[in-house]
Amino acid sequence: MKTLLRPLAAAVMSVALVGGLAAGASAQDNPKSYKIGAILAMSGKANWYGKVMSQAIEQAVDEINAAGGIDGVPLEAVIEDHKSGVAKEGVAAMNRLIDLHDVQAVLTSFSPPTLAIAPIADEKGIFLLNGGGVSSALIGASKYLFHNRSLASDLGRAAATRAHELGAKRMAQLAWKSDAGESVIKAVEPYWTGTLGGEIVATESMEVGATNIDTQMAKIRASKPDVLGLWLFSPDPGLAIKRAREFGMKMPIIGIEYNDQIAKLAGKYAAGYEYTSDYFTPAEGGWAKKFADGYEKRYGEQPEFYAANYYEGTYVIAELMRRAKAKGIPIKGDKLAELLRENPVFDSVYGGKMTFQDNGVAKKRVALFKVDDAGKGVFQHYIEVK
Amino acid sequence: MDLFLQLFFNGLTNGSYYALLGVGFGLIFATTKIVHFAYGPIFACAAYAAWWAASLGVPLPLAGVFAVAVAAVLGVASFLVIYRPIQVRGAPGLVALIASLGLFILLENLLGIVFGAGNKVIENVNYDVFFLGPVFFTSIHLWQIASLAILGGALFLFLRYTRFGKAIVAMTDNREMAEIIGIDTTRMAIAVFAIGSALSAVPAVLILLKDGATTHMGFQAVFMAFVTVVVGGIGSIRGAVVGGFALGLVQSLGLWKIPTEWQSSIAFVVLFLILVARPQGLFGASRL
Amino acid sequence: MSRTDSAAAAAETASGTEVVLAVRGLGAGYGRKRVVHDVSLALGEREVLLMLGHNGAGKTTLLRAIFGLGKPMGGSVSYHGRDITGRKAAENVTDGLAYVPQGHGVFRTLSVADNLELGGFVEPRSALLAERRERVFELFPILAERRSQTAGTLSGGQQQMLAIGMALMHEPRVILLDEPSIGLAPNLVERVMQAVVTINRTMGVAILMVEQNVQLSLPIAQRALVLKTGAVVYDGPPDPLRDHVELMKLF
Repeated sequence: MKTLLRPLAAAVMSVALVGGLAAGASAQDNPKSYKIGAILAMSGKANWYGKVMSQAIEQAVDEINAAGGIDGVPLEAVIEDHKSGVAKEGVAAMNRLIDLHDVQAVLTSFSPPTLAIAPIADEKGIFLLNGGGVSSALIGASKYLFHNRSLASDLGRAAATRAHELGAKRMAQLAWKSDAGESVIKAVEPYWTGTLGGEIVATESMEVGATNIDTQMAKIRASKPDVLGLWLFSPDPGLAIKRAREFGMKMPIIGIEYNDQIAKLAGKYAAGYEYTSDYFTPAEGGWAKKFADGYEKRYGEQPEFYAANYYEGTYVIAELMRRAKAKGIPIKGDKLAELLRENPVFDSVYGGKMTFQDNGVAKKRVALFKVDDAGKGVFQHYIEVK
Repeated sequence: MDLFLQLFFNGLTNGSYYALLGVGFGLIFATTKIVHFAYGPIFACAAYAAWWAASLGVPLPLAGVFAVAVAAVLGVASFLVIYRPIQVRGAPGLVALIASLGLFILLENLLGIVFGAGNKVIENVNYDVFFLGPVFFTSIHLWQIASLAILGGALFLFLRYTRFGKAIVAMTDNREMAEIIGIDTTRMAIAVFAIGSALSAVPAVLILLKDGATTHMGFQAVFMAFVTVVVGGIGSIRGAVVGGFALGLVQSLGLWKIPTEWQSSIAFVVLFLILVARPQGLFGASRL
Repeated sequence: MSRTDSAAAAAETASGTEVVLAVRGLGAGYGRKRVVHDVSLALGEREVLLMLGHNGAGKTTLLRAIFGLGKPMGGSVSYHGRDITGRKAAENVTDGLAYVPQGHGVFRTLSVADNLELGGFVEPRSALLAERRERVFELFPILAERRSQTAGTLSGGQQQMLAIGMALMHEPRVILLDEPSIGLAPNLVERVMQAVVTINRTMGVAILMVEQNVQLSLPIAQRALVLKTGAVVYDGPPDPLRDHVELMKLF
């Protein structure tokens, strides 16, 4: 009996091996699903962003799958949490996406975690698309990193352009003590003092989320500016606007972000605040309206541009995957990046097309908004940075 | 000069805020020898309690009273549930400290889970803005100073002139002697946790009105309270008040010429200097 | 904790006076460590019972266990015939049992007057407290002089007087006095012993006093007890202990 066992075992094992290989091969050709990873602020102070971004991604995935997926293979979104922008968490999330889910494309958000995962993307050849982080440090951080939102520095310079439009000459700035905040100062200062011929009378910084900025406001007031630039993100502009007005400052305040939270914090002082922003409006019609209607139906609220960016981003990745399949190229992050550079024009949910520039940033128009008496931001016009 | 005056005034209002927090925290520490880090999140809970009550339509003064009650209850609960069992088992102070940190983390996370991470404000709060020459301030700032004067003064009188208050002072001085002369030190500890936590609710509500509430606000509160007590000297109300003002003024005026990037570092610098020059604090081990 | 019926057993001491404090088979210690083993003693009314013993014999531990500042490990304590074993200190104080701890138990950051007031904490009637305070000042005039001075700045001897004065403020019937002479110069020790005599003879307070200074404390005691490594090795009249050799045998 024993002598039979060995050859029998060998036979069973070889059948299993061949069978396994065969199964693996076919899995390559037609996997159960194509996974798109997303690393968002699902918890922590900024979890509002994670909420709207993930909602948009899920909507896009459902729509794409309803239309047949990627040539019959459904898309699947794997959402991970960087806990409101903690770089370490972003790295852990990225590793989980790669090791556990074999993800080849990731939608990333917030500058610190994006910067932290950039080297991993380079090493493992993972495609990264950022629709939320705004630091200039992101440009070129990875050869596979692309952006479909205007960076803070772009928004800052647009704001400075507006300040110049208003006739201001002395600008005071209050910025976040962070990569994003500092990148705006770096972009705005030479532009304001050089191209626009103005003067910077005060530069103050505040910790992200700090609530006691009395000293900064006092110093800003003492510098007698005729415009105040707020290079801050939600919810801090709200407090800054309130404080500035309470301190008796009446000059125009221009920022680069506005939302409900900021409106609530600023209260009655929000009226008159101006800000530059990526502008998504369903009024454009077409895809924009379709997206907005679908979003409202699913989630009961109108989407704003963060949701739009991640919705759009999902479609961009899906489109790249489709192109790869059509050409018989394996769906790998680095290949997707190559395909994007080959043909950088994509449909934009904002309306029309968007083109990814050499630096990886998709060119979109920056819009100027002004807050009305009801606390709502009203579109004014698009800004051309000189 | 204008800037200096404004910064000076800011220093006074922030100082009152720190002082009152220091008085509450210091009372608990001097009496029970417990470093009650959870003082911070309980302060935050008070702010959230007031916000929640106000969001249900409760008028502001009542919401404030509710906040005070919530803080007192949580303070006493933290003593009875966490600290006392540790003390009864005779564990060293370090264990209570670690437990306190654990409670701190637990409460902060709980706040985040229950209320979400956003900044909570009470809408349509109208308060007056004044100016005195070049100095701007709001009625909230005035309340910060007034609350210190009223509550600090009341506590001082209570400790000095009532039997209960004197028992607390005795306990701060020599806990065993207090037991020996017949003081129920457990009852005193409960009272002190209640009073100290209740005291923190007032600055909590004022900050809610002024800046809004965040889940992490407790950290800054307990940190400043701690530095105030160390600077001012343990066991001294006068010390906590002076320490608080010193901290507030140094922080504010110190930034007159130094860039505001250094704002959070100044408290550390002051703490370090005091620890080096006079470790027992400005009024350490002196009469209340 | 077994509870022996105490009433009949030791209602009287050897000298025929009523027993105000009776300790039967008491054990005490720290954590798991037992320092006092099976100690029995009886303190008579108006008696001064002197407890001697070397360092670490367990004298302070015993006093603390009697007073309720440390859980007894077996045995019982009765006060005026009532069982008070392991009772909280606060209850003992209201009952007239006082404890003056070793090392000048005073509130160092408070004034002499405040200290005395706190000594009478359990007594709410301020008129009575004022009376008692005057008696303490009569006994220790130096305290009257320094009534507003911070207790921590008093000399060792003055602090000890203050500690004793604090005990008197709640009008005790029994005082547990732990090494009042520790760290004091001989003349001050005499002064303190004189006060103890006055308290005992004039105010009628029974005193269980632990002491190291045999020479100065023996004369004022009616009975003496020697404790050695947690057990009683002598319980009787004080005179035999004057003999140095006898004493050495016991320590």
